[in-house]
Amino acid sequence: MIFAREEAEVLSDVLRGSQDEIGAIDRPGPVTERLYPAAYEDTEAATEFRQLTQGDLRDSRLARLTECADELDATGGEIPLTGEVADRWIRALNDLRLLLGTRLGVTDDYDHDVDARDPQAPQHALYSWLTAIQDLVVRSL
Amino acid sequence: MSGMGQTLAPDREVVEQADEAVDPDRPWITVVWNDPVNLMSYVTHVFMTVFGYAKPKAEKLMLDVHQKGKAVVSSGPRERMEMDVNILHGYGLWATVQQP
Repeated sequence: MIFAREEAEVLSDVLRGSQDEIGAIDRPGPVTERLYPAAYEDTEAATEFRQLTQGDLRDSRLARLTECADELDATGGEIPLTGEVADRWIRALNDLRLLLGTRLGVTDDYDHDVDARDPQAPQHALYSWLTAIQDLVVRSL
Repeated sequence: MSGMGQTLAPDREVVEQADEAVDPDRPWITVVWNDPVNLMSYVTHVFMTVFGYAKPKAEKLMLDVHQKGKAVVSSGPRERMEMDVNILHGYGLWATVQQP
């Protein structure tokens, strides 16, 4: 996987900059709901499961985001996609997409064609870009 | 996509799941729910990676999730289903533990 220098810098910034929100397990809201969903319909069972698993899940997520950003910074954007590296990347990209997608309120019939005058056009563009990268990596596995 | 990947879930064995009536000792299931963000290619890959399913089965389950809103992806003891759900959440899928 090869990124141009500017792309690598943007992606590294996004990977690091998203950590606060992705790691905010105690902050109620749609992003946390989506990233740390209920494992049971029963609220009590769901809460118990969350308490046991949420912290580790958060730590793993943040570690992956950091590792990917570090890798971009160290290589200038050339990432050899061997097994574990590729797995880490598709997961990191997925978490970024979950964060952005939830914030943007994307639906099943999401249209990547967004009006350039839309104030959220940059976020939509970022979401589309991350989607394309993830799809490319997954299909290469 | 290349063939079956090595499962990355260290404690999970790949078990042959024959069609069978619900066994009272294994009454729990893992359900994956549709969501608008996860790519079909990604979901298929996750099912292959986590459960060791061959691509056709993984794709069928993915399509069930996509078209029917949900799919049962594994069954067994409750503790094992919780482990599966935990792993799936680690891949950003939305999964729940239920009884059929």
